[in-house]
Amino acid sequence: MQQLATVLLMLAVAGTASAQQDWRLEAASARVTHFGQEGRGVQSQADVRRDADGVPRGSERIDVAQPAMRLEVQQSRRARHVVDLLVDVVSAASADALDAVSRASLWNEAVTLGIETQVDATEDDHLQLRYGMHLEEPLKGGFGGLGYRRDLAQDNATVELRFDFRIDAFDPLTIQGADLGFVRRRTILGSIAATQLLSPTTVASASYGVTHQFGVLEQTWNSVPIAGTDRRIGERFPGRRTRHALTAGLKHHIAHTRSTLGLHYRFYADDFGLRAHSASVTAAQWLHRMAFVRVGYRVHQQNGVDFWTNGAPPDAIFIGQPRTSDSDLARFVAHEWTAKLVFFTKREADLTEHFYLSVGRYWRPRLRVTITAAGYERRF
Amino acid sequence: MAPGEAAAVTRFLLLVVVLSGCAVVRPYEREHLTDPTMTDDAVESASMRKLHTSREGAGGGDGAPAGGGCGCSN
Repeated sequence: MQQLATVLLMLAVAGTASAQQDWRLEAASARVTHFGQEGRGVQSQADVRRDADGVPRGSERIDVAQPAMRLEVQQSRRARHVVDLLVDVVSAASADALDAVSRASLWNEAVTLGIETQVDATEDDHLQLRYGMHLEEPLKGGFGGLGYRRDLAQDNATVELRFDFRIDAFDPLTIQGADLGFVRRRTILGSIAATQLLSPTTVASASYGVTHQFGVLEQTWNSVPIAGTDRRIGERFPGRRTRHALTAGLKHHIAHTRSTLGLHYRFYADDFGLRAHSASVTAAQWLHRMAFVRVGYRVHQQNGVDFWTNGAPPDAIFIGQPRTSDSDLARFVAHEWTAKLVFFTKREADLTEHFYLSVGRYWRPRLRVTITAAGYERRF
Repeated sequence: MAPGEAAAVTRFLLLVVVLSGCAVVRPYEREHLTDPTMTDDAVESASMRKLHTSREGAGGGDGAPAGGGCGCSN
């Protein structure tokens, strides 16, 4: 694997260096999103109230402001770079949790900067080099990866291979206030993806990927109630997790009505015992020469991890078995709808600049998220 | 992954290979495939992916950057 990585890197450098330099901004896009979340979860220690069934549930109320941008830069005829920046400003991320040395429970800012360099080794062979970082109190991480895409049959099909790794480091406190020292979480991802034109109006896509993680995988501030008491202990995960995901998608344009329909399905399985199915459908319709609307619906069903509990046994802290009360890892069915209105600034012969407004709603038992966004894109 | 699920993955990948030979669309026939309604917005996709991976335990595994790189346990 190391040799393959070296060869890919050498090809990428050669491709970049040999071509005539011609730096040019190809596209710029920006988006600001607000997520307003209301809900209650067993893992939260904020404003805990007991349900009718006696289960203690704390508030999961948060607001997230998320500015994001992407720049696409052409370096030469064969090399280009895509720069992605995603920022999350989260209020009350873990309200009322123990917070002796950080302000993470009050406001938490997270920044992810990623760069992908794409090099055309030949007309049909494309190499990718990815690298970036993630900063978030109390976590810092770096990531990198390599990719290869092959265009087939006059660009009617593509096959893409990706290999990525991540290293996250953080200095957690337990919910009792103990400092465990510096810990790490490592993640290795591999995937294969394919697209295929089925007709002049239809394109299909599919992918399979595997992710292996090891190290400290649990959060440091989630808590698990001890059954029959008001006491809590920290959550605990196994030290390794392997995830598999399979996706399939189809998009079809109806030229007569100027509409587009999209279908997408994803199956997920991991060795925590979690199985999930996600399906979505989208429909887009041109309203005018300069505007279209897109609506979507998504449903997600998951069965929950094997060690999820709403009340750990009193001796759990001594046993050290995996345990979590995180509502995100429980059994549930989630629904989501979205609507987006896109305005172009010029007529259809020159669709290089547009604005959009988007709204949506995500909900599942005891959790609701309202999504509002505005965005802009310009291609040069 | 259970044996039954591995078999399903294998069948799915075979289906993809079979489908890959089904048509050749010439470059001059691709006008509708480049319609803006057929294209995903990468920034929007990243934002919505983060919504899902930070609220559902089933993130990652598909080449997308989840399962690490965030303070969430998903």
